[in-house]
Amino acid sequence: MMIRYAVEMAERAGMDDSIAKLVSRKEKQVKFHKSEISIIKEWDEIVMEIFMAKGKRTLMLAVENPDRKKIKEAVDRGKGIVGLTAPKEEYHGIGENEKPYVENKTYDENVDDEGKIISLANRMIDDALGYAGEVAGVIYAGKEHVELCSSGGIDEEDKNSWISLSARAFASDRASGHAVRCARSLEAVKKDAGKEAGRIAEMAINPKKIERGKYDAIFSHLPFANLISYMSEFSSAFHVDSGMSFLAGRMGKDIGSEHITVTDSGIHPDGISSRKFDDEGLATGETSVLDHGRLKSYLHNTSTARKHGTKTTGNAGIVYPTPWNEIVEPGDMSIEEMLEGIKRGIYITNVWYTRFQNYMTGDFSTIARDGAFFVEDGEINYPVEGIRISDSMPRILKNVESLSKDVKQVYWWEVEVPVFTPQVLVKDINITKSFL
Amino acid sequence: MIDEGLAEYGLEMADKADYAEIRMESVKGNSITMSNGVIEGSELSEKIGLSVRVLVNGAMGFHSTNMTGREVIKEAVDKAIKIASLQERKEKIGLSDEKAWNDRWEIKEKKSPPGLDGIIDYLQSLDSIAKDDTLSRVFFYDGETAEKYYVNTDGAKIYSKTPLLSLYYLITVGEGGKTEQMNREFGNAGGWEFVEKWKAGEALARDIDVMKKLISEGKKPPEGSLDIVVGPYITGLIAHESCGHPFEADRILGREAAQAGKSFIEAGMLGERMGSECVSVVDDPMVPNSYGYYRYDDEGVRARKRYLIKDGTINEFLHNRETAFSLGKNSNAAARASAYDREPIVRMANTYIQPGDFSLEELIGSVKRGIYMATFMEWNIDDRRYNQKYVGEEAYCIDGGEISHMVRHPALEITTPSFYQSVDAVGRKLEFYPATCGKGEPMQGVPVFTGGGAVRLRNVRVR
Repeated sequence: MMIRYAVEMAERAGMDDSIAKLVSRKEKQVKFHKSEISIIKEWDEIVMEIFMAKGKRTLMLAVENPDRKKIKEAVDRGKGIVGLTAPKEEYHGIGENEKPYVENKTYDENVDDEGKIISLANRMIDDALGYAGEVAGVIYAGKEHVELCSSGGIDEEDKNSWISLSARAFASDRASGHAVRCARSLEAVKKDAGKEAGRIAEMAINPKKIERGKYDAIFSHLPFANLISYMSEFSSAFHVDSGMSFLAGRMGKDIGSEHITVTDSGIHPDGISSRKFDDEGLATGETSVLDHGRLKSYLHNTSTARKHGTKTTGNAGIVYPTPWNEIVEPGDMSIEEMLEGIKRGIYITNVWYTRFQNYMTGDFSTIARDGAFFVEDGEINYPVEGIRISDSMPRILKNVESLSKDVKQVYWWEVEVPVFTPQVLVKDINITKSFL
Repeated sequence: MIDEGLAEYGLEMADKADYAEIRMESVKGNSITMSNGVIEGSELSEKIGLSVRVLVNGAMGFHSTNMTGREVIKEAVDKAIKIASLQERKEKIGLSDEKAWNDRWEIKEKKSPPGLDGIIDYLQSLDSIAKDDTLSRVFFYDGETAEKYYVNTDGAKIYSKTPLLSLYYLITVGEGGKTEQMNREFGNAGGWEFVEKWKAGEALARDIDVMKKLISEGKKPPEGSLDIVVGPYITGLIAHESCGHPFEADRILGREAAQAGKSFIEAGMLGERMGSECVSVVDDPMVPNSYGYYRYDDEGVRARKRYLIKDGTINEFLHNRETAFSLGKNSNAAARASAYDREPIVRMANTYIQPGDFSLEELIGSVKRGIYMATFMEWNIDDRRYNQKYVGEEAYCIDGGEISHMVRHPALEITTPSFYQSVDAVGRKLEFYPATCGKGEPMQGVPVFTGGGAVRLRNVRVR
């Protein structure tokens, strides 16, 4: 086993701590546009990461397609260099596993069957064309085998598989709809992304302008997942400590409305980022981040946890604690019931380019893209275009009014951390647009 | 070390493809993360691998692996051909005819980077400048040298070696419960001599002073119809986002529509007026030692300067060989791949608003009531590249042709045609700023310069 060899080499080189992680990964992509396949891609790679620590000095090495010779050379090189790094006083070792490993997640060896994913792409195209004149999209399907060994006695392996679908339909240049689906197996993934994208595009034809101002807004699954994906990054203790999070200094405080509860989970059976262990080899689990609006925990590895006077949450990243899957607790309303409560508002089906003015305050803006609709007296009235949400994360969390009971897992270009979320009604969102 | 013979052997194995190319890369690098004076992570990496891209009966296949050897490359070629053959396209993909260059080029480092300890000393010296006056600060340093060997069945053979260095910081300044943040990126193709030219310590000290002043003296910006002078730090971003991206021919043709988006520009708009006559926007890979420098693109086409907008008129789109073929043009060498395991797609290199005739003082001096925006933090633009927003960080009120006081976060929200039509003068001083441009499926971050002269906009609204 090469991982054991790597740890053995590091120990022989006099390291106090070492971890070797070997990832063998295969992935395929089918990309399409103008209703035809643009390209099919495949990736096949093996990468080893070796973490070495001598006292408080740490170093990470990456070795591609490793063999014993490359590993020995890398460790020898690392041995010569680790002494040149500066000591990290807040480094507190690699931790010991205290929780049982959870393995009840799906693994699909055939998730990347090329015939099946090509058929799926063709189905997405045909479904979307039932509503709209043009469709583009992408499917990713992949699997990985992960082995990890540490000087702390951990020797584990894990297997993961994933498939994600993204379809974007165009009923005109200014009328589009976007839908995504993802799952851990080909069988489990819902195949209706093309249909949903087409339906939204059809509804978005002939968009109108609306005035700047405050509106109640229903965030559909994609846009709310976008905000929660950012929040999950900001819940990493590294971001908190580096001035890159509006969650800093607010532990234990009510930062959201009582309706909003968010959990980070590495063990959700359907989460496409679920995994048995983190980068220290410690069991992943569930961490309550927001509980009915109250900030309960940041995400930690062993060292950041020690710095914050708590225990690791099983979210290592050696340098940066990393979110796995975010779970927003659903409400009990149908979308129709949520719409009923709106006198003057907007239904937003997607956002794009969320950018922050100040990570500490959470001031940001994001652009509504694809179908967005003006809602009046409880009914979707007409599509709108050219609007931007210019607000702040704390204000949005505080103004969460209700959540739907339907939940989707969202993962795509603009949602880099998978999020299970319902649709969410937020009061008094600040909407801006171009003046000229 | 790249085995060039292996790439050429791979091409020989691709006789069943109508077209094939092989790109091998070796990237050796180190990166360091420092937060609040603590070295959080040091990483050494060596990324080696290859990709094969083929055309078979008008369909494209791409296979990438980080394994090497004759059997591996033959298998990679076979797999790429197989997945291309599975497609049944009605409209066949083609590639424009281009000269097949044989060349070897590299950028020399005048000064080699120091060892890890020397780089850490440098970062800690920067931290010492900031630590007493900031609430937090984080630095990311990255250095790498990329060797590439590219061959295709048209006969191109290109070897290149490019060292790249970059530094990013984000700092937070606070006082009386208010905070301000500023980030900056530095980057060049070349050696440590550029780190010395960056004068990052001076920029850092100045950014801290500006933010302290903004907190203590910044006022609400004037509203309504105003004249605005926008500095090169922002005009570069605008040139990149609202001219470079919508002029990418793959967006125009819908190839990136699913995620990165389309363009408000249509293929038939060449020659149409887009801005005032004083506006020209250039994309040029050949700016010496620029962050986006290359001599041949990732399809082996020789790089050249491109005028996207010339004297206010839409002049040229950015093309790779696929989009050039579709639109009956030649490639202008805009095909870039961020790594061996990514397909080459249409990208910018160094995009800037061509400088004009005015000094910054002259631009400001003719404004009775307005705003000068020097830097930004928040910005965004829609995926058609039509509606955009830039929020000033370092920004000042202009009264009677003179800078009067700092203003807090003026927001310019404007459409692309309105922006370019509102420019009535361009500054003569050309400044470049490095950035990392994201596009592609999967995401590809490529190094670029953005830049330009400052511009003056007449009668626009801010809030």
